[in-house]
Amino acid sequence: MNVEIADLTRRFGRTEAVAGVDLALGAGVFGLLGPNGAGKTSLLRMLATVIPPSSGTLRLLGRDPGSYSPRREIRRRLGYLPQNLGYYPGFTVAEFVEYFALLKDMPPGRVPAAVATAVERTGLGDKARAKLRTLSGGMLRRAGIAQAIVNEPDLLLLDEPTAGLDPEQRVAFRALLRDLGQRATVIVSTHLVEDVGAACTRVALMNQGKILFYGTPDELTARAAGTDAAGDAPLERGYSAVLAAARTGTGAWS
Amino acid sequence: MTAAMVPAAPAARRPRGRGGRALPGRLLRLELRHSIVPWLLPLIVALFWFDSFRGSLGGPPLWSVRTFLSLGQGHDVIDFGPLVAGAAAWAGSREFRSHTTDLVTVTPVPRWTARLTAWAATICWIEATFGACIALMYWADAHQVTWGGPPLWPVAAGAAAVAAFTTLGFALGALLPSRFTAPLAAFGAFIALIVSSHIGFDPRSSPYAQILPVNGQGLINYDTGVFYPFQPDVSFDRLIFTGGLILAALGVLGLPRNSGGRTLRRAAAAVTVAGLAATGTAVGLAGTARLEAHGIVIPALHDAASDRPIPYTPVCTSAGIPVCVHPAYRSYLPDVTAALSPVLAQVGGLPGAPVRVTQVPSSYLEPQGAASITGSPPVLRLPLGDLGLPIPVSDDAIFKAQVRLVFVHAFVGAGQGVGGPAQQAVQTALLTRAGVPLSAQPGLTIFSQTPAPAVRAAAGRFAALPAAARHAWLAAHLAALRSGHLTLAQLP
Repeated sequence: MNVEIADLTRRFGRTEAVAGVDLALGAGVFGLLGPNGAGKTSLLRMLATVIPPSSGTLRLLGRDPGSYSPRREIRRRLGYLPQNLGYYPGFTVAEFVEYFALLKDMPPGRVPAAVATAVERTGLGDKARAKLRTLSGGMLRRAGIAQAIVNEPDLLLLDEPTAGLDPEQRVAFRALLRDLGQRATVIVSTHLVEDVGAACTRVALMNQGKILFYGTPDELTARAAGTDAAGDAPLERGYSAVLAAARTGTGAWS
Repeated sequence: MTAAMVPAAPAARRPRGRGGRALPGRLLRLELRHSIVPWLLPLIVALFWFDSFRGSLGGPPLWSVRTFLSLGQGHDVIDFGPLVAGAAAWAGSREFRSHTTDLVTVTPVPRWTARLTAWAATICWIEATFGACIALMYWADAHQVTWGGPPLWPVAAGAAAVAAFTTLGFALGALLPSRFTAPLAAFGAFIALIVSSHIGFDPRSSPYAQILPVNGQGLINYDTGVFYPFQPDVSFDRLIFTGGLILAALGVLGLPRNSGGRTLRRAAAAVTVAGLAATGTAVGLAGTARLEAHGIVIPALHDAASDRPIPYTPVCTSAGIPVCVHPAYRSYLPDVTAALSPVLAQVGGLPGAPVRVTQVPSSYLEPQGAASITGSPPVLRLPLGDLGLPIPVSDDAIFKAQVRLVFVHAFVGAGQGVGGPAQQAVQTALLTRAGVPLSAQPGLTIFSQTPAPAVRAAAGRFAALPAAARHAWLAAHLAALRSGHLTLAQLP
């Protein structure tokens, strides 16, 4: 298992953003769904070792990120795309990806090829020498994805990766996710259930810091059966049904 | 070219490895390419040209004075300090401004390493600019200065001070990032330099003030590096002080929990402590500074070798009474000779009148050092460096008047003060006869006040005597005049 979480909690003052989450994930693409404020980003930031948990157990890639040396080893094998991607406007796409490749402790001799591969995989090959300040929002997002995958991570954490991508790019991105998920654990936090349906093998639905549902996309779709849950697509209706059940107190962790 | 994201072809897993030694080099290359400093270069260079460069080139053709006017007083630090502190704070707060803190945090390379690389890029640009500015200034100086070489210790101290402003600004930006950090760092540096200037130029300041980068207290006089080597003690102490500040600031960058592992943070703490210790030591050493004849000496740092005179062959005139100066003052020799001729002619042949004029070093201990006539045969020993050399070398009336004044002053034996009334009257008369009108004499350094009416009247009478009568009177009364026993009434 690349991700092992037991009773994981994260508090910010009196607010419990993540409230006792348990998960165990191996290779594959894993979708994290939930409304705004559900705790998805906080969970992802703990998995990315940005913030430590308040309590609970967290093991990533077989290591405890609470100690410096294991954390460093985890970070070497980690890719992370934050929800709000920061970037250096004066860097070119290739320089931006190279910068993070170097900070990820990749052997410098291998960096140029890795950068070229990552940039090509995100469809930015023709923009490799463009300054980041000249790119559109969707292209910036792809540059962010490129820096996340440049080290071929074993654990890839993507927070709203498709925000700003046009439909064609989203389709291509899902293909990329499926490819990456063949050997790595890819966790995608998103609002867009169609991304989950198309790319994810497993999905979790969070609300108020708790996981309300965990299963396959088909199982989530099945939750809508016999309900009048709202939604334009079957997966959306399953999503709505689980949330509605949780609000009425009839939902249960699956 | 493709606009689509494509899965990679299945490939064997790449072996993982660490960045190794090449990492800082490649990171540094990226940081150098994207440093903000090049954008500020025109402004920094313009400031340096306007302030330090022009000031240096406007000085007499002596390395000592030119260095004093630019580096010795800290003009270089004033030109660079605020701008580099602001630029470095901007560079240090980059992650905050660009919202890349999370991205950088989750990388395995310690943040201390990443920050030190960004700092190194900033300091490389700044020090390269500083070095180029100084080199250009010294290159221009070298075309006008005819003897010796530039003192390099003030350059090292200036470079270290600029580096300290850079490092403190960077640390401020990294540890307290906000959109206001860069302007605040620049403004803070500006205020620090004003305070340094205020304290450093105050003659009542304690010896501890010597540690300040902007300081005009006795670091260099005209003869520094001419007769005796430049005393590097204060520059070296400032180097320790600013080096300590740099180390401490760099160490503090590695102290936060997210900067690296325990070992790294311990190393950062050790660097901080070492830096603070060096800074404290330098301040303590500055307290022991004392002014000696050839400069400021800090006993613990002093090298006795810098007390040995620098060998030289004087440059002399051959016509009339020989006038010899240090080769560094070669360009002043015609003016000095021309200035002395009228007064030497008045006293020529008198017992006790000089048969030779030779330049002697000016002393830090006697900033208004008087000339003296000593030896047998008598020799006028002239501390030219104290006379306010004209810029540029030219037929400068004030300079010539000063030369005549110090001569007649020495001739009547007035010593350090203005002399007795009779001595003042004879000096005034000799100067008047040498072409320095009475009205111009109060402007001369030693005659800071207009002589009393009785002195002026006696001087007028004495000056009105025929040259032969004055000569005869001086031959008979010079010894008494020099001993201070004559009164105004005894003058003819």
